[in-house]
Amino acid sequence: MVFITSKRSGEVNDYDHWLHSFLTRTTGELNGNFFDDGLHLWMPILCLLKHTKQGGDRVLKTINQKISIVLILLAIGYLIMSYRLPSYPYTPVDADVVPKGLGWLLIILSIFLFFSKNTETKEQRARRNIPKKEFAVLGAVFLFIFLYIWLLEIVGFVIMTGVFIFFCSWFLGYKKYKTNIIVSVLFPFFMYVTFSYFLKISLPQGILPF
Amino acid sequence: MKKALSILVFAFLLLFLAACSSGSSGEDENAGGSNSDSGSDAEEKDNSSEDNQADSGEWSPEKPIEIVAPAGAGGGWDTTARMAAKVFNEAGIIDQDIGVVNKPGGGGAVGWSYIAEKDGSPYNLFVSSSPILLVPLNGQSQYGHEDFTPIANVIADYAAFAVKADSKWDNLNDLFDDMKEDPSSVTVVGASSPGSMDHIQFVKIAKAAGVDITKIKYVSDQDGGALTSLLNGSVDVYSTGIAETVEQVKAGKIKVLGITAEERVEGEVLSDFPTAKEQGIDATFVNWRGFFGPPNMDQAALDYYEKKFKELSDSPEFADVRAKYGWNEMYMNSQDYTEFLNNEKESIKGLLDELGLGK
Amino acid sequence: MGSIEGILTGFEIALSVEGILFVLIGVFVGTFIGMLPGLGPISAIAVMIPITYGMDPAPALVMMAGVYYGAVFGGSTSSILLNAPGISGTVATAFDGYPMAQQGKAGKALAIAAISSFTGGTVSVILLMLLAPALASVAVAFGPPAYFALMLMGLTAISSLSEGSTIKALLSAVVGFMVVTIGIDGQTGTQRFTFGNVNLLEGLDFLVIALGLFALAEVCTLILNRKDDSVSNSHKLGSLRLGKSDFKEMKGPMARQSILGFLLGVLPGAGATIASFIGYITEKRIAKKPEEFGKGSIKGLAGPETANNAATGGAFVPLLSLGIPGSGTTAVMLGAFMVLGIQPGPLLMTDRPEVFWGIIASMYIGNVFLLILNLPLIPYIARILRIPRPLLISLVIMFSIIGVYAISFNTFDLYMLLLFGVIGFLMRLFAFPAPSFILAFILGGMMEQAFRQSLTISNGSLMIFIEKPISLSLLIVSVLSFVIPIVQQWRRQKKVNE
Repeated sequence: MVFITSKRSGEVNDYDHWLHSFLTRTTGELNGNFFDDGLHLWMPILCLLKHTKQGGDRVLKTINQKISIVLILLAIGYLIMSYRLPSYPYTPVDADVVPKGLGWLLIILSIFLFFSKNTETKEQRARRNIPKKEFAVLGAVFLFIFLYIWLLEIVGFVIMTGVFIFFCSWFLGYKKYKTNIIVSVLFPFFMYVTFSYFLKISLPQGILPF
Repeated sequence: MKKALSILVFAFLLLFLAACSSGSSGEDENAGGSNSDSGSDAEEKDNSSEDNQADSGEWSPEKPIEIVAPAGAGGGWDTTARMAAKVFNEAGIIDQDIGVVNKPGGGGAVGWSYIAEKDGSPYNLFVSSSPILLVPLNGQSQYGHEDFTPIANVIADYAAFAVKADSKWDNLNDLFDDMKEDPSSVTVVGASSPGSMDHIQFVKIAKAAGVDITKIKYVSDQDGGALTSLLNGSVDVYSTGIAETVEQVKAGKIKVLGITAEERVEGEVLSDFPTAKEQGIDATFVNWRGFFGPPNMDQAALDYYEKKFKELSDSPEFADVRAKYGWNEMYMNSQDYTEFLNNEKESIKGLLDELGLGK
Repeated sequence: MGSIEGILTGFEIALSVEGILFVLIGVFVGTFIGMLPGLGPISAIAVMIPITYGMDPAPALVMMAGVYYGAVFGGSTSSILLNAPGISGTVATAFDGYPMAQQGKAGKALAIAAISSFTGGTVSVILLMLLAPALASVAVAFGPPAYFALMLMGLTAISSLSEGSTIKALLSAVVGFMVVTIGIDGQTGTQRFTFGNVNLLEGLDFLVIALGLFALAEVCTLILNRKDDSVSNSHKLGSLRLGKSDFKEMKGPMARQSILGFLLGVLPGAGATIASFIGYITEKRIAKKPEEFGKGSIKGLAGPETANNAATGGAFVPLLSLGIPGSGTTAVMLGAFMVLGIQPGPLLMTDRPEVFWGIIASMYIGNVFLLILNLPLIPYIARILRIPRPLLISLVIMFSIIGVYAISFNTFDLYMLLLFGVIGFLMRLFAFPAPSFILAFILGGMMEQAFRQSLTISNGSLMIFIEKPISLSLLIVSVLSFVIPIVQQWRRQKKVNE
């Protein structure tokens, strides 16, 4: 986060601000351990995504350089935790040795990446050429998945899966409503029966009585 | 400008979706609410049924019972839970359906925290064994056996210490004498990490024999390579359960120096295994396995299950199961069980503290 | 009872009506469960255990074995069609199988997979029958130092899995290795990088990573291309027929990988995953056109797919002849044996020859059944790809979620799946290869443990790795196979620059 905000003007701060409010909102609702930790991981990635799309400018010229900074930050975080690992007296190679090695290796490799020439092929570069609108679509689908997971155990497998399949397919442009409804009703039901009764793997039952 | 616009659109879309989601989550909260309502309905029903039966002082389940195996499919806990559920139903000991649910993770910790939330419920049992003492002592679970309602212990297993058939040691004292002399020359292997069962069972016996337990060289192999390492001579001693050694002993590949039971165990080959006690080492280690209920389980429900587990343990069907898996019978009722667990935990804690592993 | 007599008894059992029936049931259930993304042989066997309760041991175990290799056989389907590997042994199958399906050759890809699986399975049974008693000693020959060297050799594949940039492949691998250090450390019991979260104590499951990096990342790509007409090729199933030239391509990989895969399968702990990766890499190394790999090469599909099925046969060596389960799956198999009152071990072959040889003999028949069962089904199974894009996307997401949920019964792992989906997508955008990430994830953990076990045993002396011939020679091979490609690439670049 730090390295991006320090170099950028208002626009990014707005973005940050938005991101921040989004995060606090989500974490507030969730109260879980996971999102506290999980989103910290996401943030540099999200920022990076946004950042790289602005094209080469200011300090970090190439994509490789930007990625290498992110990886170095990751390595530093990992190393800090590695150095804090408690020691265990009865082994010649303690639990922290390999992680420390990995952390430093990541830093070294990232430095290599920083100075390496961009050998991307045109095809690889073209992959990143994604219209903004499409990113929104992706974001929305991920949000759908998130809600699906969140409500899976509360509402139950059959209902949530049906709702998810229907809305996700519809959102992605599936126009045949009838087929869609039939699939999203029958399919989850079939899966549920197969798993719970045949395979004896219990999927969340939720609010349904069976 | 275009960028800003698209971000705006994106943000708007997200907000919109978030709004939708909060709307739907609202509904779902209601749904969840109605769920819990129905739950409390059920509880009321239970209460009323209890009231009805209060005269006879008995409680009996009115809806399906869930037994949690805090591990994945196929392991010891899972097998015990599934077999108990099967015998309960098939022998007609309990008429309600019994479902087994796997909650793997954290060596049991994930399953325990799941049950801990079921405070007072008479429909959520779980199976456990020594790890419920060890895992919290290793600082890997905030819940220990004190947080739950021990119902009954049903089976026991004992540890065996094996060496290669051509090893120079013929009994535990030979081994421990060498370990006292040069601890770094002997490597012990087990399938679990230090501070957990395979390690502690060995440490407990070794300590009673006078070995400096802080110098024991212990290697853990969780990918199934422990026996292999013993057979190819990479390590010297294998700390494991009795059942795992039988076939190899029969085939003359390894020998068992000692087991941790109070008396010799019955059975072909098994009865040849000397106990540590008869070799003059005054220590035992039981890998018990039993059933627990959630915190604050009702006394009436506890009485009910205690009785049912006694019936289970005494049933010929369960005797069959025990024979099949090589388990030993060890029934304890709730009170004895609790006391036993407290003592065990105390003794293990002592060992871990001496090793400097206690948290 | 002599071996030949034993083999005959085995066939007698396997060819009896009862035997054939149970093999058929076993392989059918196995393939069916294996085909569901996210469900592998472990779930398949665990599901079947209660059914065998009270059956005769020989037919019951014949059925269980059928479930096991049937699930491995069927596991390639979701890898090829949806890029959603359900077990670690089929990750490498997706590298070339999925691109092939995308090019409108789904039918052909599935047929190649079925035939290679059949070949790998059958050759491994022959080897099992001839060599099981003799190989028992090989299975225990590997101590921790040798395992360390073997895992290291597997890791050298990383540079071969790159998408052009070796440094990016290495970076992916290091991060993959870092991810596998999460959880309780086996040698010390120390919690590493768990953030105090109980759900992380046992680390992240392979499926979470594989389905995130492969299936969900692919979903992202599908979403972005959903209106693109050029990908409509993948709606085509293509012909099932394999031409002479196809067979010619497959012949080499099938012959080599059946044997190599079997040998790696014999080693406890190594198994199908390492066999399939090593199968992929060796084929790529010796191929005349290595640049075709990853873009739908027949060799790149036949190699790992032969290897993982051959390894499954190999895994029966330590299980049947020593009673040592070499993997989570065979551990569950061992449980199934015990339920039936059979204790696999060195004496199984003499005490219960009908069980020992019955299982082996039934595997011939089982593999034939699998082929007969699968080939005609391919056109129907491949029709999955005809499902309209938006619906298919939703279904793949749902299957990934079920697959992960069915192993952990916990939504935490589902959030992790989502996270790795995002990471996988970003890795694609920036050309960081996911295969080297997952390879390091699979091998790294075992490698670290073996390394530290070795040093504990040797009281800290590194000599332990070069004292014994097995680990020494494996280490030399690893070093060479790591250095040579880098030197080659460097030379090539130098030439280009000049």
